[in-house]
Amino acid sequence: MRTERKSRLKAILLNLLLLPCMLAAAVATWLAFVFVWLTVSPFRSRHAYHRMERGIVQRFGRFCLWLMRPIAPVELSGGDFRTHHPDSQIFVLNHKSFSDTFLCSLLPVRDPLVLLNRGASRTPVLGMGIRYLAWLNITDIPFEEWREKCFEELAQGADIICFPEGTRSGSKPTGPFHSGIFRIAVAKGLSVTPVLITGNEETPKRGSIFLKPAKIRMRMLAPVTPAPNEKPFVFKERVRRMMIEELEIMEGKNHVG
Amino acid sequence: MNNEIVERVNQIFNETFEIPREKLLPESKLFDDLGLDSLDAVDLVVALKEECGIDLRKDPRIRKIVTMADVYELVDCVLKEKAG
Repeated sequence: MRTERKSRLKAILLNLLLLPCMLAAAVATWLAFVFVWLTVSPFRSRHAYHRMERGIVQRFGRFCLWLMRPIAPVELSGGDFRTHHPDSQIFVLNHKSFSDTFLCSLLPVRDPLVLLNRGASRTPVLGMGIRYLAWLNITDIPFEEWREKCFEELAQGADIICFPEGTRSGSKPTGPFHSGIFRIAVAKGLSVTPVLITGNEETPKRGSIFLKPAKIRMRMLAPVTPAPNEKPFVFKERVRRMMIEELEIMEGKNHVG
Repeated sequence: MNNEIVERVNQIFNETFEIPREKLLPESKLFDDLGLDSLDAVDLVVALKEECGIDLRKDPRIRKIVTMADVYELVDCVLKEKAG
C-alpha cells in the first residue's frame, strides 16, 4: 500500500516535470517549422520542404519518448527499426493511446505521411500541425481523393503510417479495421508492415494527459503482401487476424499449449 | 423471411468478402461483427446490383442497415417493389 502510494507520487512528480518539457519541445518544433518555412520553402519544392518538416516532427516524437523513458520505457522487437527501406512502405498500427503518435517516430521512415481521423485534425495545436505537414484527415475527404494523394506521395518516396482502427481502443480489444489503406496496398501491389503496440493503454488514458507508468512494447512484423487477386476486404481481415494473434501473444492472452 | 433470399444474400457475402457462412447470422452486425466498413458497403451495393439486379445506391434505407437481417429484409422489399 505504502509502496503503491510512493510510486504514484513519483509518477505525479515525473509528470509535473515532463509535461512542461514536452510543451517546450512542441514550441521549439513550431519555431523550427517557421524557420524552415522562411528559409527553405522559397527555394525548394513543396515536397522537399514537407519532407524536412516531417523530419522535424519525427525528432520531436523521439525526444518526447526519450523524456518519457523514466515513466514509460519502450521495448522494441521484431523487425528492423533502424534501417529505412529504399522503397516506400505502408505501416499499419493498432491504436491504444495518444502516445502511439509519438511511437510512430520510432518507425524506420524518412518522409512519413500519417493518415488521421477528424478528431485528431480538430485538436487545436495538433490539427494545425497536421495541415502544415500535409498529413491527411481521411474522415472528411472522399476516399478517391485521399487515395490519389497517397499514390502521389508513394510515388515521391513517402512512407505511409495508418491506424486502421480509426480510433483509440484503450484497454478494449482491437476494433474492426477500415479498408482504405488496404485498398491502396492492393491497387499498387504493395505490402503492409503490421506494427503492434501494447502497454500504453493508460499512458495517457483517453481524456487525460497524465502519463501512467508503463512498460510499452512495440513489435514490428514482417511485411504482408496481398496475394494475387486478393480482395481488399480479405487482405484487411488477414492482416487484422495476424495482428490480433500477435497482440494476444505479447499480452500473454494466448493460452494455446 | 424468404429462405431463397437469405441464401442468395449469404452467397453474395461469401463470394464478395469470403466471410464463412457460419458467421452470416441474421443478428450479425455488418460493421462490428463482420468487419465491413463504408467502402466495403459500396462493394456490397455493387455486388447486389450484379447478382440481384437491384440498385441500392440512392436508396435511403441502406443507411439504416445494421444487421444481416436488415439486409435480407431490404433486398426482399426491393425485389417485391421491382416485381410490382
